[in-house]
Amino acid sequence: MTRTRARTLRATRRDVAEHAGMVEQSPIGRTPAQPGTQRPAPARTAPQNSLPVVLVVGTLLVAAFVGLIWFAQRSNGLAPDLSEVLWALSAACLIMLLALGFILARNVITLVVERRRAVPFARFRAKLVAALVGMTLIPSVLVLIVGSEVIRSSAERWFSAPIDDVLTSAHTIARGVYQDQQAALEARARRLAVRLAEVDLGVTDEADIRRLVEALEVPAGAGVVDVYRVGVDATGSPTASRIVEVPAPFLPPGYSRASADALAASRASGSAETGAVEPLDDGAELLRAAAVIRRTPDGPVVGVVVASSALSGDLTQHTRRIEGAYEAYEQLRVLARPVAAVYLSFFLMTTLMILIAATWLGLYIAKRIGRPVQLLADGAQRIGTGQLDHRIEPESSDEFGAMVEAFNTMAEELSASQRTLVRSRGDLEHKTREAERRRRYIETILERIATGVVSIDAAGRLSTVNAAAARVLDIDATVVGQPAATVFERPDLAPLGSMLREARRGVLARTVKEVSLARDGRECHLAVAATSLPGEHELDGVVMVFDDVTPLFRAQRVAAWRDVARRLAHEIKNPLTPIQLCAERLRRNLSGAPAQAKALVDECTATIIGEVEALKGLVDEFSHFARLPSPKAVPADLNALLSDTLAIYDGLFEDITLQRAFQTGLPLVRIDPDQIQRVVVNLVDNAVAALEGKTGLTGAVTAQGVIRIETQLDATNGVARVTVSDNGPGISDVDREKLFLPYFSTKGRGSGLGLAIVRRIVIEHGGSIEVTDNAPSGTRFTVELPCANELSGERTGAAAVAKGHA
Amino acid sequence: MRQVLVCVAVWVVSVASPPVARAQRDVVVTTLTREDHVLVSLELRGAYTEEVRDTVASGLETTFSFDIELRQPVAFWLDRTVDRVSVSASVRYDGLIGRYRVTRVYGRVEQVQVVEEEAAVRQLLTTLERLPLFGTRDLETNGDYSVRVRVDRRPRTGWFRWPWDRAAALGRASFTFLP
Repeated sequence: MTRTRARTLRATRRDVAEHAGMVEQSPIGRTPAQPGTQRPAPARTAPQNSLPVVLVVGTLLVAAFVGLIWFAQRSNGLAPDLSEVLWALSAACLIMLLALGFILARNVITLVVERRRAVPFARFRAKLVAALVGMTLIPSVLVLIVGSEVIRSSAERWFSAPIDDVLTSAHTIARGVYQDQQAALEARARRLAVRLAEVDLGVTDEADIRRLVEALEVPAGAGVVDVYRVGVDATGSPTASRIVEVPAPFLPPGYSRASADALAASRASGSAETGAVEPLDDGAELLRAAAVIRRTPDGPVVGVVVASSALSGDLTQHTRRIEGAYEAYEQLRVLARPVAAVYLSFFLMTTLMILIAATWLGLYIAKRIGRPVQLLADGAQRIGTGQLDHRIEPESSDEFGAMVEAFNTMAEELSASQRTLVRSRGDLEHKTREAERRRRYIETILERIATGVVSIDAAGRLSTVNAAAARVLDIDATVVGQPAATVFERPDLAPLGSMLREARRGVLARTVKEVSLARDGRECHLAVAATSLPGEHELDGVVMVFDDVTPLFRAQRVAAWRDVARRLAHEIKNPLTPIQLCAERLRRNLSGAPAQAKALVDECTATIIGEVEALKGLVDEFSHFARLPSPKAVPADLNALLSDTLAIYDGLFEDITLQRAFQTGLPLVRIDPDQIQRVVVNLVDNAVAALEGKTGLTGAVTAQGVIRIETQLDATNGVARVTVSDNGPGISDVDREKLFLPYFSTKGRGSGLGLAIVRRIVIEHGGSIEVTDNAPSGTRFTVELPCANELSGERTGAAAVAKGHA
Repeated sequence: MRQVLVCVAVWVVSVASPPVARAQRDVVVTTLTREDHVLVSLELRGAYTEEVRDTVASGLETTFSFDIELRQPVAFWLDRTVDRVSVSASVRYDGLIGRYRVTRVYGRVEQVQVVEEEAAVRQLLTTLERLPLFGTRDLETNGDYSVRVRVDRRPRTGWFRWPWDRAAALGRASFTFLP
């Protein structure tokens, strides 16, 4: 009934769970997903714990108990030899004792093992078993001890002194009667033997012997005299043959001569047996006494005389009854211990049966009580370890069954909650992973972008400094976590620090400024935007974003200069031709003037025309700078180009040496040879100008000028590097920054467009140019040009762009 | 727990062993081969105790049963029983006439003796002299044999009997059969 109800309940729950979609996920992977809530198969009850077996064994125990009582009641009729009974009882007691010990030991060991293994409910079960067994064991043992003492003392009281005296006296009297009779008979027999020794039994006539006996001893009452002659048989053994039988006038019924013959034969053979007792039919007894007949005291036995006398039936019965009572008393004294042992064994066996039954029943009750609780404890432990699908099969419909049902309901709800929790956890993990992915994405972008990003938290500590910011601001990434005020108190970062302070003060939600910072002697222009991050109650922090707009700034300046140059060239070049024409006309028209005037005119017009030509050249330079054509790049041998270009300087300078250090195996480069030739000439001219007796910042005069032109292949970046260095006075840091700007010149003459054009040509070739100090003195220009092959070209382009921006 | 079990085992062995050990030395067995029989003599020493004397005097029939086995030793195994004979000696005392009736039975032979002296009774009950109990026809020449005697007495008058204590005394004698 209970199991049917449980199955129905299980099926219903499974249906509900399946419909609710609650069985798709397993809790944290500990238990595989299973279709619905599953209960364990009902635990098989041990045979000794099943109710039918208990009833059968109980019935057998009761039957054995009743049989024991029945047997004990009939123990008085047991045979005097109680050995077998005692043996059987001892064996039964030992077996039951062993059974009891086994039951107790097994359960004790089980309980100890369960306690050591920390099996749930083991302690309570041990206490319960101990209480039940103790409640049975202690009273039973006490009753056994008291009962044993009672039996033992009762056995001692069986033998009291008065009864002992009475029975001993009666026994003495009865024995005296027999002994008196026996003694009288023996005396008669001896007297007859003496008289019969006077005759020769071998030859004397039977009638004579009879007369002699009758004359000597006339049997009185129920008495008989038998005379035997002793001879030797063929084997040499003595024999006794009856010669005469002198019976009493009336013989007792049941009289037989056999015992007399046996007694005579025994005496004839030398036996010391002198008497015998022969029972008669009416309860009487016939006493016999035998005496041997010797002719001389030391002579051989020639005959035997047996005298018999009957005791009356009444006397015999009384004496035998007395003897029987005495013997029974004595036998009881002898068997007192085994008899008491039998009673004790009965008692012990009964006690053991009660103990076994009570112990077993106690253990059974303990299991019946403990098993549901143990199942609940075990189930709670399993639930605790995450096995939320564990269910307990109800084994009864009582309060324990209701408790089990409540436990299963709780487990079901826990399982549902766990599944919900797992789903939520999965969603949360998914969102966390997504957020992490987005964070990494943003971090990657922050690290890759050229825009610098710096953020500070509400406490004013730096929380974000991306790579671009670290590079532009020349700070280390380890500053993250440090107070922003400390980091930005550096003089070159002071403008940024003030912007951060303003943003933190919340003066403006967003502040955009253009800030110039001195970086390695160069001016770095930043477009900075500082934005405060408002929180719920106060400012969460400030984020500052800035871009290095220095290249843009330079480009704008170059564009402005180019525009100025173009306008200047246009505005200046137009009036130059009329001026020149006018000057030439004046000189031509005044050619006939006096010599002095003519000389003045010629001088002035020559000056005008010369200056106009100079202005034209200057304007052409300006125009050329403004309208520099795009390079027509073709693969070319850079070393050959340099050799051809430098050939024009051969023999021009006495104090200047041009050193060539070209790397062999240089690949072709894609260049416009004319423009690159112009670049090289420009750089060499600058170097020559620097070495032609000019004084540098140090004031030292260059004694022997050396201009070194090198080529080198940078295979890694796919560029060919041209280096023009001199050992001149060098360039100051301030001048170096403005070196590539148009119209900047340190020579005091010229247009100041040479290096600007050089830089433009190199950049339009996809290359780069930079100027550094030469060691130990002088200036070093390095031009990088991309190689002709595709791969190198790509790499070189990328490198050039990067350096160009820098 | 283990110590308790060991103590219990030692106690059981100490309690159960003495009767067996004592019984082993109480029966003196001697054998003699004559003609076609193995003659067995045995003497049960110390068996006629005061307890036995009281038992006999009470009129209870007191019996000493001798279970005599002729055995042949088998290497690494239990001895093989060649033959077995039971001998008993019983006594019953008639208190009225003061005589003992002693009955000795071995095989098909029964001897009845009536004696009046207790010493004779003790002798008849505890001593057997050269009883031709076993034939030599099935014995192997130069074979090793032993005669084992288990003695039981009835009635027993003790408080308790161990289930395995079937013999009151034990005896053993070995001999080599030489025809």
